[in-house]
Amino acid sequence: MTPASPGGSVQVEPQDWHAAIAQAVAEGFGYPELLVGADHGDAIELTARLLDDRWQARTVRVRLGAPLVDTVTDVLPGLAWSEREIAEMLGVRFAGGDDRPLLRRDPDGPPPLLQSTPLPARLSTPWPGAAEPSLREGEEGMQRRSGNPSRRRQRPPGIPESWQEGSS
Amino acid sequence: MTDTAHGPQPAHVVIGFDASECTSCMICVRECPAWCIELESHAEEVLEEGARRPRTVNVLDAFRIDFGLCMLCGICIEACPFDCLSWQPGEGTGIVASGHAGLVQGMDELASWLPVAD
Repeated sequence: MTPASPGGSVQVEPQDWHAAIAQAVAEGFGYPELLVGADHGDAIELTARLLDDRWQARTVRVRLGAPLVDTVTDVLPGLAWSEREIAEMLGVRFAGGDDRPLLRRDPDGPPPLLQSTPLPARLSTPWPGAAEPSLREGEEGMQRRSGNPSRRRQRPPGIPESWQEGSS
Repeated sequence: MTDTAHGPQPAHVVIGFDASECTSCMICVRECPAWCIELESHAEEVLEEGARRPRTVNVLDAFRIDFGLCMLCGICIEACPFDCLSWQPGEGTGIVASGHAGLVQGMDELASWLPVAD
């Protein structure tokens, strides 16, 4: 039991996700506060917070290797929108669930919230942090006389290397 | 500070910049998640009296924050090793402009938010 989740916090395997949610509902945690997903790079983690009638929360988490898990809308119809949003933004398929596109105008492109999906604005914008003080005003591209010429070039924080094919 | 008699407190703050302490280290530029800070500088050699050889210093030429991109997250303020950047009251409305160009503030405008020394 944690203060933020007095009803308990549990992490389950993908095959046990539906059973864990159904169990929580059976124990009185029948109000779905949220269902969210996040791409951690090695896995997509789903987090459900279910409330009981005293507003105590049970948190159920699952880490998905493959982007497939059973729908829980049979026990919690109120999570239908959240499942569709996770399906659309992270590419997770909810077996038995509603797979209609929700918000995106391009539902066939790469899921926008996957870490591997590049943000076009980031690719097309030069990073202001790449600049280094030039040796003298107006002299571009000269080898720096001071400092270490082979100093590791900085990279923008939070941008995966896989976004940039070669040059930055 | 809060005028509770007349409704909600205006929420807008701005970011002020004190160029006098800036060394052009570029840390704020690199740490900004919105890429909204631009800094131009050049290196100069300074020979001090009694020194055997000159040393190189960075001279700040330009500093701009694009408040159309800025999220007011404050990471730049925390990251600056010389406390050049600071939260400042935004005089109620914060930054107001009639076009995007007005949202990009240079060194003079960013300094104008700083409190005037007595």
